[in-house]
Amino acid sequence: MPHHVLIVDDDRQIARLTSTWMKASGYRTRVAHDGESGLEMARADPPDLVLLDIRMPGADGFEVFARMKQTPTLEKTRVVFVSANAHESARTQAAEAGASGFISKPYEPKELLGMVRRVLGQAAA
Amino acid sequence: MTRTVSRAMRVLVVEDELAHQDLVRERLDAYEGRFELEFVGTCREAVERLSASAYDCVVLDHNLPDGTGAELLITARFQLLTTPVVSFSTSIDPDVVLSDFRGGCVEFVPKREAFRGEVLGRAIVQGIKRYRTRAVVERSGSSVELVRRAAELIAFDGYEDSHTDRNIEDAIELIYETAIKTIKDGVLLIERRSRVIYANPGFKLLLGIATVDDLPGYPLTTIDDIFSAESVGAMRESPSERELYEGALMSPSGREIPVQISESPIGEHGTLLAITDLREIKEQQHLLEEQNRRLADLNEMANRFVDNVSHEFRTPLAVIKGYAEIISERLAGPVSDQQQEHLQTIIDRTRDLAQMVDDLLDSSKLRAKRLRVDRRACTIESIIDPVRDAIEQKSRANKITIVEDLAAGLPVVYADAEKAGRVITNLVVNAIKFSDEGGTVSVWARPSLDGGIDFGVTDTGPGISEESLQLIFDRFQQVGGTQRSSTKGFGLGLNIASELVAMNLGRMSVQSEMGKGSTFGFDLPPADPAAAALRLLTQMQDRTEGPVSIALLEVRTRSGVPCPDKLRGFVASSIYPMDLILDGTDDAGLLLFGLSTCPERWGDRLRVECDRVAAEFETDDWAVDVRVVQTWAYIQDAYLGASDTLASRCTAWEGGATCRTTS
Repeated sequence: MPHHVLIVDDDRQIARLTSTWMKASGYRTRVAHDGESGLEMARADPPDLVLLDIRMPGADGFEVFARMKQTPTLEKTRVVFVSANAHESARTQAAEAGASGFISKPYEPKELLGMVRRVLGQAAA
Repeated sequence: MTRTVSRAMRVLVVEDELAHQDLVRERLDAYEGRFELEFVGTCREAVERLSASAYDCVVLDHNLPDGTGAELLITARFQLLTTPVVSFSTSIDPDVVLSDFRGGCVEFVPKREAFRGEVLGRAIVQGIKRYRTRAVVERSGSSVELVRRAAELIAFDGYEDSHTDRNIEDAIELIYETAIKTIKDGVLLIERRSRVIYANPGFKLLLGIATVDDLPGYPLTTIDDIFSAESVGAMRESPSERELYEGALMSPSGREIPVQISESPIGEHGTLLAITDLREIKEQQHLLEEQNRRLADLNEMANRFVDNVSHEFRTPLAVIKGYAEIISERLAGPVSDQQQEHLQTIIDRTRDLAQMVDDLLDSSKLRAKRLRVDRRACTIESIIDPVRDAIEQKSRANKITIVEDLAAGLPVVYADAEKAGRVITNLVVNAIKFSDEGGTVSVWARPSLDGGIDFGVTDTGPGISEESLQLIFDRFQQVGGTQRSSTKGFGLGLNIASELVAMNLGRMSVQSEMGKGSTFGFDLPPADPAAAALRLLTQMQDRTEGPVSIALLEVRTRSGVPCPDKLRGFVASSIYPMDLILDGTDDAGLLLFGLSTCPERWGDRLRVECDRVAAEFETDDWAVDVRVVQTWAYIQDAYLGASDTLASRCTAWEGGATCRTTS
């Protein structure tokens, strides 16, 4: 069974792009374009991994992540933050919040897939 | 007070030629008893006379049978301590004149001038006057005494009988009168710490009143009428406790005027207040603070702007590059070879553009000193491995061959591996820019003499001219037009590289030969606290001007628990980026090592910040004691002492001690 990845990004083109790469590499993907609906979709069908954009209108990535952590059914779901903000504070904040990874846009597809594989590999272990 | 001052001046003339003695006598006798003359012809006699009796002035010939005037000035220097010497000579050789002045003479007159008219007489009077003026200025003593002596000098002209007590008293009066009237500060005399009995013109100006009638409460003005309540309170305290303090005057219109008040007791019940206007200073202070706040705002705005720009650029770049890659990978259908080639160009150039955005971002963070540094013990692999991909892609796109030449068994270094990797990437990107297609760029590393690693990037490009070498590490600097036009950037790469190298306590170097190529190199210190400290000190010396000191601080949790990692991070974030954080010989302590003009204040600030967080989180873990272990004056000798102390206070690296800094 392929790993299930939820992509949450308000930029539709980016979300679709990421989804295309993930699908091409054999993952099952779903896409949400804002924090609230992302959270809803995750709760309805818990994914193995969420690729979560930080800067979004409404609930931002950090808030979504915090609320995910309060949801028992999402206990095993891993989160990798994807952000166009390469600012170190974002990276640090992501690490401090307990995210499994952080990747900045524009990313190399190899880099993204490598990170997803690593995070999910750990999850499997 | 009466003083007799119109007595004759006693003058000792040291002159061996009788004819010249006669000429001197003739000239000075014209003053009708103003001068009482004695003559001697040798140095020996002169010393004898000077030891036996006091003179108002000595007139000294330069050439004497048993020595020169300059020699006599030295031999009789103690006898001449309180006597002005006027030197005269047939020679006007500058060396002769200079030697006499060096010996302490106050006037010099060429002989052929001296025997003409009033020249000698005037020189003697001037000499005495100048000498006494010097004595008044140099003497310490009460102002009254100094003013009296000054008044005597003003009254004294040496020629007429004007040098009388009356004249002196007049001069004294004039000096005080003028001083108190013209001084800009306010002067108040108050009685029994309450009633104002005198106010000078300066005070009226300060208070903004035209005449004394406008003084609030006049003629029974008290300090309550003119000072703020707080100042009055201070004034009524014991004067020995507060002599100089800030207060406020209340103008008749009710405005507060900030002033500095200096109190001096006068007699049993009097107090003299000297009052300095602080309005201008306060105004400037206010302006400065305002300006600083505005600058801070602007800085913050600029930072936010850069962050936003970087975000706004990166997102579309991600889209362009991402979709080009999807097509190129044939995920969207078949692609012809020619289309594939064009797509690769799009991908490569988008990557370049993203790199430039990163550079701009880094550069602005470097300038704002907002870039974090996380120095720790790291291997060559941890530096090179993460950047190998990017280098390969860049070289492939530009058809350049990269040769990697890393010596075997390279030592562990003390660095922020990510920053070191960025430097290598920047140097390689730069080398590729300046190389022709088909060229070779080699990346090499070997052990350095001090146990660290020397890195280098060598290209076979056109080389850099002597003049350009001076400029290449400047911001936005691009050298010549030699790189291919398709690869121009902002000229930030080398500037960033050199800043990052400095943050890693390394040194940057460049060697180049026109037509042959260039080598950019940098080194990193070995993973040893003492070596890191030594590098830091060298760097400080290169970058700092003026006297400063280096300090070693010990930070210890008050509860005695091992320093939590988060506390360590907090301490790290509150220090200057270049300061070192080291683990002490036991778990509980941290050592901070850095530049500080006031280590005590550094320590206090840190302790207060930690206390604040401790209170916020209601935990004892964060409460720390900070002790200044040692300070060194900023001199060359401090180097060894400082690094030795650090070495002795840190466990060996093999023992697991870490040594890192963050900003």
